[in-house]
Amino acid sequence: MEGITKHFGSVVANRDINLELHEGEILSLLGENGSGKTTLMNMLSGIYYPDEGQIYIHDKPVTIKSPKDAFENGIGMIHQHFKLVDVFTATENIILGLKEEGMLNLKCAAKKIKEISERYGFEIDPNQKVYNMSVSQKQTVEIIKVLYRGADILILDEPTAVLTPQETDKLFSVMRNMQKDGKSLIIITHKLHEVLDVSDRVAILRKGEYVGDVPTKDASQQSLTDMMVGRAVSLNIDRPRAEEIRERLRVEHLTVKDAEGVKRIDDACFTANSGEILGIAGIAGSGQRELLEAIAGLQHPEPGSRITYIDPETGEEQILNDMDPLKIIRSGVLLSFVPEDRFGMGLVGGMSIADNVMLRSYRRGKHNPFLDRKYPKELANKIVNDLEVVTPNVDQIPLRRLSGGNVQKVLVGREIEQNPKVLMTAYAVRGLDINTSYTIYNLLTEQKLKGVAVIYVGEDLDVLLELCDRILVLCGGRISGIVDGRSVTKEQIGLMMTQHRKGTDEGKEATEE
Amino acid sequence: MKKIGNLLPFEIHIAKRSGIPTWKAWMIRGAAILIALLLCAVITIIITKMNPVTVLESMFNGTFSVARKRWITLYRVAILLGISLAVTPAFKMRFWNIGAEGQVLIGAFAAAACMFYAGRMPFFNDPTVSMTVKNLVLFPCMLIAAIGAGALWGFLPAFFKSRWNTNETLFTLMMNYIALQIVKFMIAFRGFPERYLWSANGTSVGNINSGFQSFGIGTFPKFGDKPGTQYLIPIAAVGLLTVVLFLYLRFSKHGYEISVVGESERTASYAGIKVNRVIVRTMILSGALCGLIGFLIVGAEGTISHDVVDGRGYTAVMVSWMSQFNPIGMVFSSLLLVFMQFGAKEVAMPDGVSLDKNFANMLMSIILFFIIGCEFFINYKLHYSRHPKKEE
Repeated sequence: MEGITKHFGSVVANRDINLELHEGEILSLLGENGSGKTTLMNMLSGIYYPDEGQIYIHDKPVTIKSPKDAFENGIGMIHQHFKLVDVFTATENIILGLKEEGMLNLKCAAKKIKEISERYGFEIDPNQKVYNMSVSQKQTVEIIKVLYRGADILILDEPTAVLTPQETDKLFSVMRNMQKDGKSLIIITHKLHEVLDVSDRVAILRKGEYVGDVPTKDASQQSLTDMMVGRAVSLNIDRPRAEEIRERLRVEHLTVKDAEGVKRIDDACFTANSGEILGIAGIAGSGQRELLEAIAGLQHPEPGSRITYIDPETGEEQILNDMDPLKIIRSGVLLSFVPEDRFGMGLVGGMSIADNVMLRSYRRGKHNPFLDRKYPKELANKIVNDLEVVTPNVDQIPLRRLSGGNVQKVLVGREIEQNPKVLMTAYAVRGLDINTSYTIYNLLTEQKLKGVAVIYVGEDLDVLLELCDRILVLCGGRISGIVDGRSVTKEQIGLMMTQHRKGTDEGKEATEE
Repeated sequence: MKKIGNLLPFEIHIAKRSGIPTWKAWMIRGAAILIALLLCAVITIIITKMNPVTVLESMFNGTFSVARKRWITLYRVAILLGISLAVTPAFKMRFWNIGAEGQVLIGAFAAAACMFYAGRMPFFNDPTVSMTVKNLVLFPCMLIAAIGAGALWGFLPAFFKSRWNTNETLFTLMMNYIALQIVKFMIAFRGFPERYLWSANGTSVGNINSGFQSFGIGTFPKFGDKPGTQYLIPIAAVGLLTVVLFLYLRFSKHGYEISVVGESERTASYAGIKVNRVIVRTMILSGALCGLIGFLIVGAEGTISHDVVDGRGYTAVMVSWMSQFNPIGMVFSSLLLVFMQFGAKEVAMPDGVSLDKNFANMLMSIILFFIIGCEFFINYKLHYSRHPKKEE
């Protein structure tokens, strides 16, 4: 790729990027969120078209205008979000969209899939339906889909985000097999240890520009981070112990079913204490969302469940289940909830920052039918200043136009400004750059020291291990254990994450994600 | 697509704009109208060999030339604007309510029913009671009946939606037919004892109560006996409504809740907004406002028929969207639409330039096409790039 430039409106997503990929190489594309990794790869796979620049494959200039063009040039991309038809089998999904001559020959296709699997060490049953598959099996289908079409350049967009450490290892060994077979692979990730683990060379992007590349053997976690951020950063999270730890929220026998009657959370019992960060680990879709939503009053738990809130001043106990969110807010139970789905749930994309901040406070002045816009605006300005949100103004530009990191800062900032007694966050740092992530970690720790019970649902185990006082591990809706964050190892958590998996449940949950 | 692309010396890529300054958006809209008018002029010349300025002049004469026409035009603008305002809260909430037609009609029907039966009551036929007193009694009844009927027509689909998740589009459409059939029944049902019906000839009721002494009650007064001034009340009422609705949507807590529910129901319930309650409340409001417009129509025209709304319940949806739910913008869109529609009829009249009515409709379509189409250029940007060096 030579001189690739791509604009989105006035934003330059990629500026004059030159990237080389050799045959039989695993290249890591590293960069903070918003640095343009995915954009760059999308241009290679035909989803976007570069404004300037030229792509060469085997020294020949090519035009890639659609994913079909990309396939014809042997480029295949495995996206973060799978695009599979649930009720089809693996084979049917793999040959979907192929225009082959003659009759549809599923048996022949299945045979070819078996061949591919054996060559690279995949474990797959061609006749298994997708809805019966675990996340990692679905990913396997996606990869085979690309190989089946004869791709020799594979792009994997954050493939490990949905995997356990054990599954990640398996994926990496498959990747090495493909490499031996002469395929070239690009893996997009921001997990540094994975980069060091699997790749031959690391290319680094920063704010849309190409910083440089280093052979992996010469790199270390620290040196890569410094290149990514552009200056030296400290990678340690402070984890002081709070002076006073008291029970704040008690969850007993919590069971949550979804609309189809499938148990999403099964008999969960735990407590969240003030002055503590309780981490929640688990593969995506193991019931994290349901757990938090049930506490926030957005989902109704099954009978027998009991969620008790213990008032810090009076010691009075309140039963939260079967209260709606408004009642929970009104009865003085201050739960602040940073949902995982920013625009789907926590924020309104079409409204300004101030109007979004108002979402929590617009009811002020009970008998006044009109809105008080002054207070939210002041609060919005405060959040913008405190968290260094980059925005032209707080009361005009719709939130949707801000970058993901800034949007997330507004959301977290708003919830913290409520002076919560219990602060729940789901993937609070998703989409944030390293600096902002650390800002958020520090904010959470600050809240903890103030006596807030913090619940932190995270995806990066390294962070969970450094940030949290205790870690609750979820697996298929059940709690497989609550462990001390200071003494547990990553491998132990990884095993707990997969302790009792049931294929069907897994499949269903993943499709909802 | 690919073939066309290859014919051109450059390639076009469509990209979504991340934002556009307001002035630029209005420039694009202005340019669109200008181009539309130019195109209209060209087509007029080609097809009719007439001076487009003459045609425009004739349309203008048809709508604004004399006081009576100005009143009628303003009144029509007011009614269309009123219905557009009424549907706006629902659409802002992304509740696909196409039931304005029926809500207005049932409101009009309720108001007319009050007039009709009042005209047969002794009190209203008592010559010693002054007209003003009769109207002071009757108008509130009509108003309440109309608002109530409209609100009921709005409430039902919302209630069913919130309780059983029924499809609001089909439901509101169905309610239109119910309203329509009720009105038709009262006017023209054959075989039903005539004394219960409102009209003997089965087509239109004519002026309600015209055969009674009470003729004139329930219709808006003319001010200074000038023709057309009976439209003053509806025009003033809708003017007020515009301001009120603007304030309601922009500055009230209800308006804020409507916007949040419209953008994301999940975010709304996360923030503790009771989504179903907001939906029902807003639809009652929307229906009530439609009912109010029905009352204004009956009060101004003094008659009822099944086509008293004349499709404006649907046109209003377009007006509301065209103005992007901004009440002030709706004033202009409804003015434009009324001007085009009735100006076009004028062109078609024998004393105007003699042109077919359909031709004028064609011009209107062109202008609408450009106004709606230009939103594409506001939301998207076209990039041109040269063909890259040929492959292979």
